[in-house]
Amino acid sequence: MRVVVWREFKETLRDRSLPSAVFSVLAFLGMLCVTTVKLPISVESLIFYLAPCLGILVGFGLSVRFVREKQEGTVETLLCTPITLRELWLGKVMSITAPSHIVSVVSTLALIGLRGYTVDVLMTVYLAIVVPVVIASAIGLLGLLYYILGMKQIRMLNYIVFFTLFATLYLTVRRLSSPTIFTWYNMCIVLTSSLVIFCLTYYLIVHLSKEKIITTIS
Amino acid sequence: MEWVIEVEDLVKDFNGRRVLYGVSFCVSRGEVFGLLGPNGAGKTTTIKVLLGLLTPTRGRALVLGGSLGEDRELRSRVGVVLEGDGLFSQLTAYENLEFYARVYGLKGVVDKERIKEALELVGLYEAKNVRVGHFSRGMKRRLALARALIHDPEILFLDEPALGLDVEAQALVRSLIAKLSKKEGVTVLHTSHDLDEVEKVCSRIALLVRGRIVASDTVENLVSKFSKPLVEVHFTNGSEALKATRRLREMGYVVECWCNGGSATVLMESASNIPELIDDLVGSGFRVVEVRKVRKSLEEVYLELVGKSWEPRGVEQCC
Repeated sequence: MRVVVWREFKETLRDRSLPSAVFSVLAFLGMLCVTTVKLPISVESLIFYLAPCLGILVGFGLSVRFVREKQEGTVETLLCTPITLRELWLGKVMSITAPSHIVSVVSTLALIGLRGYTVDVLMTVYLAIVVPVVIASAIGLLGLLYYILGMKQIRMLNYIVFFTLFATLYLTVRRLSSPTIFTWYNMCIVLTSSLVIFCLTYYLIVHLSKEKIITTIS
Repeated sequence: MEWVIEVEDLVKDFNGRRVLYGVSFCVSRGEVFGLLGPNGAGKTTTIKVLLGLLTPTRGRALVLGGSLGEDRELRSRVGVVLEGDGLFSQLTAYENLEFYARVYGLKGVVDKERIKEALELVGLYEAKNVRVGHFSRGMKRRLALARALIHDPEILFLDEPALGLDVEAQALVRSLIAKLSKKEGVTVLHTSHDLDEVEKVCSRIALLVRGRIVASDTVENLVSKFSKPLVEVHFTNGSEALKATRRLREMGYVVECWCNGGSATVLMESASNIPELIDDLVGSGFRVVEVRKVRKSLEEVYLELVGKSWEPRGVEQCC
């Protein structure tokens, strides 16, 4: 699987989708800074809601690689090698999650730093452990859906995900000034639900037939 | 004989539509086996079932005695070139091969040497640091072949390997397949529309038409088994050839006859009628210069078998 991750990283770094995803995040944060400059912002809310949302947004931009591999038929060749579908999926999820996590944490911390706030232990644990798990579970689920859906359905799914993300970000921004109950308990709930989604997807991937992937290639 | 590919009574349905109707064939070690057929005949489906990418509705498709879909170890012993080249456009040619070499478990010095050999084999060593996204269709196809060979596979599955290649590259692919089979004992299962390519490369072929194998044998045997004998009779001049053609068309053992300048091309019921044909012509006063048996091409047999009309090339039909 290390081989898959190594290759995916190389491709991600050379791919145009990474700079465009980063640019989208920067543009969003820029607008956020300008529009909320005079409003009081809760650091807890900012970290709790915004960090995973931004990570998923970047990950969504990069997850186009699942679809591209399917469209170009590369996945067919890969499935004829000793690599298993689970390794392929996991390699992709990891290589998408890592840059998405970095972008999300760096941009959130930058926003906090600009406001002159600091981060406590709970927030650091959340950013370092919970956020990547949330991003990985979202990307993993998206990857599974990309594998089993046909091209038309994938387009529809992309619209749905895009508008959901947009709506979530909108709601997040609206809640930035309200205090959040940032507790270990809440954090555990988020972590557990994300892990459940991730493990469920991890389990389903093994039971996914290769035929399903092959026959949904456009 | 050791069969390395065994297909038995293979049936495949897609959404209630049958695409393979009880396909059966075997391929022995070191053989270059061609799966030939028109578009939609089921060639790619057969290969994909063998590769474990599609599940058969009924029947067996075994490679090296097992199922590639279920056995990871077996998959490491085969090389594949499908319609998609299986290459990553953001990586260079070298990086692509490096990735596949690692996937197949090659490491260190062996890895580097194999990559160099494979790139040289397909004439792409000079372009090793160029990203595949900048490659032409032909270069990608050649690199796909190098990719499939990187781990010295025992069996090579080639689905239209020469598709989109120029004449030079097609010749390269052909010589490569021949070399792999003869010198290294690699078994090749090769699908193609290109009859010329199949005729030159394959030791045995199966003709797949609408999901059924209608013929399977060596090219030589197929041509002799499935075609009526074709004879070329040369006369002293064109007018005599024309008259002889009209006469020949009246004979019972002649299926069809065409006039072509100073000669007549005769399609006969059986080769045993050739002496009778000569006797008839000489007896009717025609001055026969030469009688030559013409070998039909695989293309002509192919067209006969897939149910299309056949007419010899470069011959005018006599009216």
